[in-house]
Amino acid sequence: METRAPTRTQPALGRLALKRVVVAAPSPPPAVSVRRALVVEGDRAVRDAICATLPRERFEVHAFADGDAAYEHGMLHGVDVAIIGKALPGIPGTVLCAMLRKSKAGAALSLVLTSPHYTHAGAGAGDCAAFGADQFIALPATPDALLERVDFALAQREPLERLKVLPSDLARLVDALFERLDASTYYQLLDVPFEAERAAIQQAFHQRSLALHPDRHARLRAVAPHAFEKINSVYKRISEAYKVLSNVSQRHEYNLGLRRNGTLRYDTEARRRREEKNMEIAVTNEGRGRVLKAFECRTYGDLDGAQQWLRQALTLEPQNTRIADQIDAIGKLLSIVQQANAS
Amino acid sequence: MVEHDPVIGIDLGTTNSCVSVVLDGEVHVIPDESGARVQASLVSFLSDGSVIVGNECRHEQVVDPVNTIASAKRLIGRSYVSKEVKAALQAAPYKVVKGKGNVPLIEARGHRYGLPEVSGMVLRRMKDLAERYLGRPVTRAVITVPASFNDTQRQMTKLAGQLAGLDVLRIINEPTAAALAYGYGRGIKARLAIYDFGGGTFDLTILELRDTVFEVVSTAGDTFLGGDDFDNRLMRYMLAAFKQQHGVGLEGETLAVNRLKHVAEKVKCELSTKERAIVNVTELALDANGAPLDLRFHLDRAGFNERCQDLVQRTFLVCDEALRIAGLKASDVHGVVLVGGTTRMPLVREMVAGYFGRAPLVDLNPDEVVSIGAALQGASLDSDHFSAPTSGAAPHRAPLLLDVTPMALGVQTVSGYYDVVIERNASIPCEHTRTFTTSMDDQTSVRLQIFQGDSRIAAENIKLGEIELYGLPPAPRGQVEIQVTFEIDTDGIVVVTARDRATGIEQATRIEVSAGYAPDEVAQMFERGA
Repeated sequence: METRAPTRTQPALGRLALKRVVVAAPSPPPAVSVRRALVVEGDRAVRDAICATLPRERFEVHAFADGDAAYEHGMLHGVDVAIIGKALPGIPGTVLCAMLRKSKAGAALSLVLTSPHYTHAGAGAGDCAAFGADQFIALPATPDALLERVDFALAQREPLERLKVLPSDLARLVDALFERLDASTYYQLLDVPFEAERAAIQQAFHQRSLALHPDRHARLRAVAPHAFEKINSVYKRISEAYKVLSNVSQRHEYNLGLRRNGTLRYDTEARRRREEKNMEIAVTNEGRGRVLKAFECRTYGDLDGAQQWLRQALTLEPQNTRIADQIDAIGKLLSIVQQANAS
Repeated sequence: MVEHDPVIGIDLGTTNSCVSVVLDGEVHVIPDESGARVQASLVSFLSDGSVIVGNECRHEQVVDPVNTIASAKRLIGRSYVSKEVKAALQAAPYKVVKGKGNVPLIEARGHRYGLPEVSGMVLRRMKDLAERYLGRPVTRAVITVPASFNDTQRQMTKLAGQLAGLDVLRIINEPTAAALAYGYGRGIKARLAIYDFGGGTFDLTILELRDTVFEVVSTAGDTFLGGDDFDNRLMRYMLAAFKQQHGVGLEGETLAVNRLKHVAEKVKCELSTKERAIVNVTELALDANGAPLDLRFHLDRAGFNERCQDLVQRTFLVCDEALRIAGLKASDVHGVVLVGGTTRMPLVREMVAGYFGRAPLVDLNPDEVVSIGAALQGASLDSDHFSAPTSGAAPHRAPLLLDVTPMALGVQTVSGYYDVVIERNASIPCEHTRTFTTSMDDQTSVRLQIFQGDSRIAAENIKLGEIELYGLPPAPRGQVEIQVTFEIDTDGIVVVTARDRATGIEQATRIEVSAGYAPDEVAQMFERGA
């Protein structure tokens, strides 16, 4: 297996990659960049066909027949794109795909998953998302179709900064947020301190919106669809962060989950289950109706309203200590809000 | 920079429509050949096979109401069996029939038309007016809808735009557009309530305005309350007066009833500027001897107000709700902007002032403000915010709009309950993922019914459609997990994707809408339009 020294430095994506740039002296970029492709395919004929196709588009090809060796190679030598067969001797292709994605430089790596068995019309797209692949292609395919997938996969992982469709500071912001999207707290996404007040959170959201709202990039939709999608997915998460952090009770629950379990996203489903259980704290139908209203109010951050409905429920069921407990719990939340407002 | 054709903004109203455009940072409301800046949302199918649209149809509406389609917006995107369509059918003199999949279709002169086609004809008229005014082709538009429109209604409105030969850059909410028109270039920081009382709908939207960002805080609406209700109220009063004068009723006399409806609207408008209205409607019917019967009718403003104030009162229930969601009191609002023709009524203005404790802002024409906002949003979407930074051009750049979804989005659970996935008033675009599981052993397919609305009972909400995920591996119940991603895009349109967690089988679909048209029907609409 022939390997060459890296022809150019890895993209400066995140802290890890940045470190690497510092350790290895950066070499000047060559006039025509050669991209490196990792091909992992158990079937020899298929592997040879892929290897024969890729150099057409100036790829330097590193081919392997099994997953274990390929993984080692992929980890040691920077590659731009990996084309992985689903059925492999040793590690299955899907698992290899997921391992490479999770590896240090995985965020920058473009992954194409191939399968000789075209079992289900929708299978490809699903595999992509489930195992971290960018693109899927059923084999056999024409060389053009394969190269098109590879191109798409590369474009998907291309740092925005290199695409030159945005001012570089904005592109760097999007790249950085995108890379850490599933590893960031809502506070990090909005770039506000944990104790930030509602007004500060709103201001931060407006700043982010001015930079990242899809409407501000409407033109990219046609010019650079991948870049547009990237910005859109970052913005959707930011809007989720704002929705939770700007609602008193949701923020409180989010903080609890974050402190106790390190949960990074607010779980609406868990809240619904909890509320359904909560509704059962009343024993009469009239009581349940009022408790339900109370939780609806709480959902929208109307704590006074919630308190009032619960008090009504308590007058209907004066012996019910669980309703009294809920009134206390909301009372505590209210005092947190009042303290925040006072300071 | 490539010179594009300008993006027009169209307010597609229930009774009236208006089109505007931004040229060199200045908003132009586009007039028609006779100088009118507002067009009636009417389509008349004439006996010679031709179709006329807009103000010309007002005459046809009186003499040939059966072939003149009014208030198509009340029907668009709704199911034939919905209570809204049933109510609209009672009031509509034209014929509506049930198409495939409970889609309402309009029947006029032996032909059937989908509602997007009818609305598309109104939009094409607006497009033609813009092209005449600008002297160049127009291909792109922003179209407004009531904030309370659901996914189906938005999709059908978008289809109407496409049928009119327009690339619909954005569907935006009418109150949001109004706020944009109001706040544009004024650099205000305030909390505004937009009181939007149109011909067929009422919405209240609360926005926070910062210089460069307008954020919608909450929105609530009543999709079946509008100026038409005042006309109908007045018309029934006139019918009673006629019966009293002559001892005979006019029930079943379509022409007479339609003339009265027309008169009722005039009386309503007259009472907005005068204290008293007197009308004489001649030859409404013939008596037993063939002699013509007239209606002499007079009404003063106080009498009108008394008969209609409960309709205005109903709007305050919606206001209460919007304020509650935002966690605000009426006195926390810094200004109230009136939108829609119905807000011209002194009764509405007085009662709104009473409710909010301040006089409403009326310095923009309520008939034009929405289309002005749409045009501003169009110009904003068309401008490049980043790649040509601060060259000094466009000093009054339209602010960024941060809008919300007016209704919760969710799925039906096994027990028939409604499980909310995206709460109402969530800022858009947004996305949520939910995991579902099989409820029976060896279940190989899962069907998800998707709803929009706020009731705990699924059936009380509006069904948007359903998706089916099939080919699941046989397993004990609860073992197969299906991840479903719900997304609401910047148009407020819903996209749902489902995926089996283990096999990664994906079923992506733009929801198949229940009040929608089959692809071949849509193709036919485009053919007929071409």
